[in-house]
Amino acid sequence: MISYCSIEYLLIFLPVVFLGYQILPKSVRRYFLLAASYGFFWYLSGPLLAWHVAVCVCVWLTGLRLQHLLNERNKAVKAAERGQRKAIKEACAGRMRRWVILAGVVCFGILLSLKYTPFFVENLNGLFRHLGIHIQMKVPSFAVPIGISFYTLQAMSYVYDVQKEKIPADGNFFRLTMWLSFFPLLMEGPIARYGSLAEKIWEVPRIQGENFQKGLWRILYGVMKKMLVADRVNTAVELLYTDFANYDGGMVFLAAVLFTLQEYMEFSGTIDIVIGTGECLGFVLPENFNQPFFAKTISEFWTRWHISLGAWLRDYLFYPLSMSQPLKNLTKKCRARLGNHYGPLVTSSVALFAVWLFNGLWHGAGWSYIFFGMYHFSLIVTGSFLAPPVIAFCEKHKIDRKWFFYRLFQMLRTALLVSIGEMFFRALSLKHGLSMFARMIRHASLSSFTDGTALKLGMDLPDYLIVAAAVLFVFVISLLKERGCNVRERLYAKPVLVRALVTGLLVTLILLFGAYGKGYVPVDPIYANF
Amino acid sequence: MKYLKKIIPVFLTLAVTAGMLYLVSILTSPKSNTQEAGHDAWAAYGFEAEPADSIDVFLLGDSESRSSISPMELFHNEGFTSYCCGINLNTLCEVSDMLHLVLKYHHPKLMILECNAIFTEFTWKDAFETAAAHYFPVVHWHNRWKTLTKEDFTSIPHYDKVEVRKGYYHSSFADPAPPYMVDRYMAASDEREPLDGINRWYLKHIVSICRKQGIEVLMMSMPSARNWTTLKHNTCSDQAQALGIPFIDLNVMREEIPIDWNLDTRDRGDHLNNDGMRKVCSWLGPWLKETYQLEDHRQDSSYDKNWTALYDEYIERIS
Repeated sequence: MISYCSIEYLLIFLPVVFLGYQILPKSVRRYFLLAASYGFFWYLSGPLLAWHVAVCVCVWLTGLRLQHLLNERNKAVKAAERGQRKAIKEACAGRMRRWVILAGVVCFGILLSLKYTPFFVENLNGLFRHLGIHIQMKVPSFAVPIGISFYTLQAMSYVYDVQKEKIPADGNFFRLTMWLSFFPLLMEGPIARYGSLAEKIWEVPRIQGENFQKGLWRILYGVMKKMLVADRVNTAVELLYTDFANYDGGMVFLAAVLFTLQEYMEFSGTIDIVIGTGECLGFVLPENFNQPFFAKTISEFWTRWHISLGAWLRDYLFYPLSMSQPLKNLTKKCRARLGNHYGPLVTSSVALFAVWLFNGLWHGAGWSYIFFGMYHFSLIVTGSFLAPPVIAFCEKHKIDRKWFFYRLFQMLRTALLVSIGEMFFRALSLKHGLSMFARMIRHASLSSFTDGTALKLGMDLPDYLIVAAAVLFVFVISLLKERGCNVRERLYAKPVLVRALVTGLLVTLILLFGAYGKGYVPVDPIYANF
Repeated sequence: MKYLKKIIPVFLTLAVTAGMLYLVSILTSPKSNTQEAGHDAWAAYGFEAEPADSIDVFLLGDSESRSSISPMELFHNEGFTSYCCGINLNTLCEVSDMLHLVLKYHHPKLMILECNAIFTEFTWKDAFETAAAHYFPVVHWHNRWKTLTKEDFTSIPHYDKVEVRKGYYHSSFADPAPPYMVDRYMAASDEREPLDGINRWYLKHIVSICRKQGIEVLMMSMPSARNWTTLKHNTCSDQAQALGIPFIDLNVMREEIPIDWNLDTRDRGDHLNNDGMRKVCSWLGPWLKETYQLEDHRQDSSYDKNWTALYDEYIERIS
């Protein structure tokens, strides 16, 4: 599959877009960018582009309708007497809700039909078999447009935001479409909000030297992460996940760690390329990662990993559910019985359950993804329930929770739990994931690391060393960022020769140490399948 | 001035990057055209060690070409010089790249384009990588960073090792082709083997380069029961006609070249062995010499060192 790290994108599509964007007049530039985005979509998904256009038309019309209702309501409220205003607002809210539901049915309907129907039919067939009912349906197979899970969430966020009056509806169909189809965001996000991006893209500012240079560095950093680490460990990951039964627990654990590393480097590397592309053009796209492996708890991890998805789930699922009347009532009851900490925790767990079920299913139509969601849900809820006794324990035993080694322990524990979760995420099925986990525990052994097995996975010692060096490099950059140091800002302040040397060095490192050419199979964009 | 301020960083960045890539290209390229130096196709590149403009005929293609013709055999019998630049699974973009390299050192009279390589599929991405590797060899040799030695840091590539077999891949082993393969070999058909647009483009490009240089081109298919078909024959025939160049299919010349698929193949009908090669050369040598008026260098002392004097060693190596 084509990726943002491919020759097609980096050396053909991007230069053509940059050049066209820079030389065309502003009035044409925005339509050029829109055409480029749709051209990119067409290249990846062909006629499936029609589904994307359908979603754009649906949310555009819904937004206009919602805005119309809001305008009518405001007029009516102004003209009405004080006592009638509430009733007018409630009536309007009811009508708006119906429109939002209709848009949701269309947008999520397309997503569910194309992506989840085979899964539901398979499970229904399984259920019928189990119950002895002799009905077996043919499992359909649909082609799914690229990034459907991303743009569906993005589109629905627009509808919700218009409904909640956070943004006015956009009368300009092309502006709305540009935001929903902006080519860097198509494959792996981040899920950008209308309010923070649409207007800026529509402005189509001229490319500036500083933005371009910094954007280019960000792109090269992303390419480096993908080609030096994600692609280099790909053979070993493929082999270990397919043939795990032939390896001991140590190797299964290595598979979990290598895949976690691969996924992070691939996904965050792609996001670096995406954000870098935006930066070159003069747009600030939302960050999707914030040094996730510095997180001390799973809960914190999800505020640092795939930030835009977490924020979407928080704003459009968790908050509305938590603030719903039934849950408010439940909170009240639980607070009275269980106290101020555990009471609200019980009710927020109900909302969290829905969030993580959605999160799991969003990643893919499979039980392993649902398990992945439930795994993280359990860890987050357990963490919240255990927080008070842990604090009490630390205080009792005079353990400073800000002590470096305590924090390091927390980070390593979080990374370990994340890696185990990723094992289920990457496994071919839930059964496969459970078997891997069982093998890791039952056949726990480190002998494969000493008898040379680890060097027979398509990676030799220099491969491991270069992966380690690249990870160390990313770690240092992340550490500097965590401490508030903007490396690119500092580099840009250096003389032009130093900047040229940095660019040349990055390109050279990628071409010298990257895993490409004969003997290597680059990893497909992991999140593009979602 | 403002314009210059914008342009200078761009050119400086490009220049510095190119300079760095040039340096690591020197570092990672094998320092000699030998297997020991880490060269993955040392035999095919041995022509670089031959005196400039000393080769009359070049053979470009994939493994079929380097298994079917022995330049030493042709020189010994007919007196003209040739070189096999075939590399396993070579695609036309790689053949084109090899042609450019050949023309840097030699100006042959005839370029034989072995036809099996014409059908090997590749993408324009592969073509891009090949072109990039042409200017910055680090793209091809980058994996050598794992095995760099002290010598790689202290010397520059120098391909002066004369290849005794002149690119020929010898084998005295016989592994018969399965009967079903021999039965269906060159079965009559009017159909054509499909040829991708990019393959067609490169074929045209290769012919055009040779024409510009005044070099004659000959399309030739080597005997292979496993790889060659009538469909390929028909396509090559069409292409050769369209390009206005001759095409010879050794697979249909059963009387002139009586290949015995029980004895003359080293790997079940895929490639020829030494016996098969001798059958090909015994017909092809005189035909090439006569058709293209190739000069006999056997009495020319300047060919002694790299050809005449190496014949015994060649015989020893291939037996």
